[in-house]
Amino acid sequence: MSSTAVVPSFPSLVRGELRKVVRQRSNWLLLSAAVVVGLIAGLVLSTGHAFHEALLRDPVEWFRGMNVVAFGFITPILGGIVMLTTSARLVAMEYWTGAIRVILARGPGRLEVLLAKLAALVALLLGLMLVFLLWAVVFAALMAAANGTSLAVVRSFPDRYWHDLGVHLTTGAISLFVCACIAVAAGAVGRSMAFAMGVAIGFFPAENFLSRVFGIVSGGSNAGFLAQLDTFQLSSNLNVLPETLGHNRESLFGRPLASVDAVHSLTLIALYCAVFITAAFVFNRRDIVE
Amino acid sequence: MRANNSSLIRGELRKISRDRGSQWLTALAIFLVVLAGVGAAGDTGITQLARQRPQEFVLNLADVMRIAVTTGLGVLVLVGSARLVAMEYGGGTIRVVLARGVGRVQLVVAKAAALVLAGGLALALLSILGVVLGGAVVVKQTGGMHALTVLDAAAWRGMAVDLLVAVVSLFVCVLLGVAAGASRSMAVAVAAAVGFFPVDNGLVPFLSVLSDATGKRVWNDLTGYLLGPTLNHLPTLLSGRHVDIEALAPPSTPTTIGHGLAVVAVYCAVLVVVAVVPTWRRDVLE
Repeated sequence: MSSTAVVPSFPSLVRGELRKVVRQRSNWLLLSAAVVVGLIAGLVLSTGHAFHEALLRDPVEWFRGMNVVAFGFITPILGGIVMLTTSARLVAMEYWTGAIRVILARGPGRLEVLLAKLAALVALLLGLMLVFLLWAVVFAALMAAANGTSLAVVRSFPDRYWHDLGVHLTTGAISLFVCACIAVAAGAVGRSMAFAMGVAIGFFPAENFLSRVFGIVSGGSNAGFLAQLDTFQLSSNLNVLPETLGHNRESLFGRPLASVDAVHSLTLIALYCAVFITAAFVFNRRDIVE
Repeated sequence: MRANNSSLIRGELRKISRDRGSQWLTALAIFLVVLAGVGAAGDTGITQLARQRPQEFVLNLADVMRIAVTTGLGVLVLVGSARLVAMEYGGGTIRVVLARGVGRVQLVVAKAAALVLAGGLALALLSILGVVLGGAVVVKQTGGMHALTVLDAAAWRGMAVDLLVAVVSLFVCVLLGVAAGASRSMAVAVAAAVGFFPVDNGLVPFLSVLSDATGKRVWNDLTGYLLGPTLNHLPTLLSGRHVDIEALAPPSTPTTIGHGLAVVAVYCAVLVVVAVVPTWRRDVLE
């Protein structure tokens, strides 16, 4: 009797990774928590008198504020947490449980498996953007209806509003992509669940903390060495990206100690992503001993 | 032969000392303190402050070194504690340990004791390194140790309080890590241990925004009951020293020493319950 092992194709590998993401209960828990926390925050904010007045007095400004909350706050923070933990877990779990040997024994190469994971994470990114977009539309529609107006007002909004929305969607997607890169690199380099989760969860807080320490040591000066060094931090540049890309509001999070422009931020973010992805692929070439 | 408490603690200490992850985390903590020292020594922005107001310069420097030491130690202890507890379940070795007659709660207590001992040693080493580097920065920025001689008694007391708060933080981090490890999942344990304080601190500006937007003080008042901001504010409360801008977010509502200590004590009690009750009640199925 002869038997021929069927090597899984790339699309079937991606489907397999997507299935792992979908069937992981903690992912759904995190996503539900993100939506609920966003909803509670939105509802609490909407109890303010200024909120009601702003919606009736200047709907364009109100909807711009809505974009800031949904895509400048909820997407990067709550969506970022979902993306970071899911990505770190997706890569590290294979090594932690030893399942990587079973997958590789079926024929696909290590590179192929990692690429399939990345493809699944890109699909997750699009899904998360869709979830938060839907959240924003439903929340805005409910709030508008509760305040005696409707979502239809957006049809008369000027171009600058749509440009603003585009900027926020772009920066939200970039932010989630960066999260995926960090976590995949952490998973591939450490091959340990503790390392991957630790780096994924701790990376941005550590950078923001460092930025604050730089600010204190340099006495708030924006000309010193530390202030210049701070402009090369990933999180500071991500925080300020909506502003440098043309959004006229102040950033909600920590800014670089010295000013930066869009070209600097985008180049730096691309460079960081390239380093993370390269690290993931380089370290992925090591032998499997787990 | 059943393992006794001291041999259990020795065993846990051996795991900590031989674990490569703990060694890397210790190196990271040392790097953080060195980075703070090198950054302070190399920054020309503070040279003027050092020459004109030496006491303020030394206190700022002490603040920076304290933050570097407690943060480095915090990361080391939080991740180390969560790992030390969760790894037994992840690796399935909990069954081997329990089969030798050790109780589940006894094992958790031994782990916590070993973590406090190892953390105390790490705190001592990092503090010595911080003092040495701080002294080097003073010499580099002022040309001598004269700046230290102008410090008044309150300044020295403030630094002693910093050390006391570091010890309190060490206990809190051990409890937090052990409580996170009680989830019995490495991913959840490490994520909870690493993510707790950033989320806790991040809630301060978020609740302040809610308070401003709704005009209700209750949101701001809630920040007085957060563990991270309370620990951040403890040195200021205990030393009575006025600080214009605290490096780490304090609560956005005024608090007292009694309130701060009560908040920390209540959190510690809750963490002990979270660590012990599930360990005691749930069977080991891993």
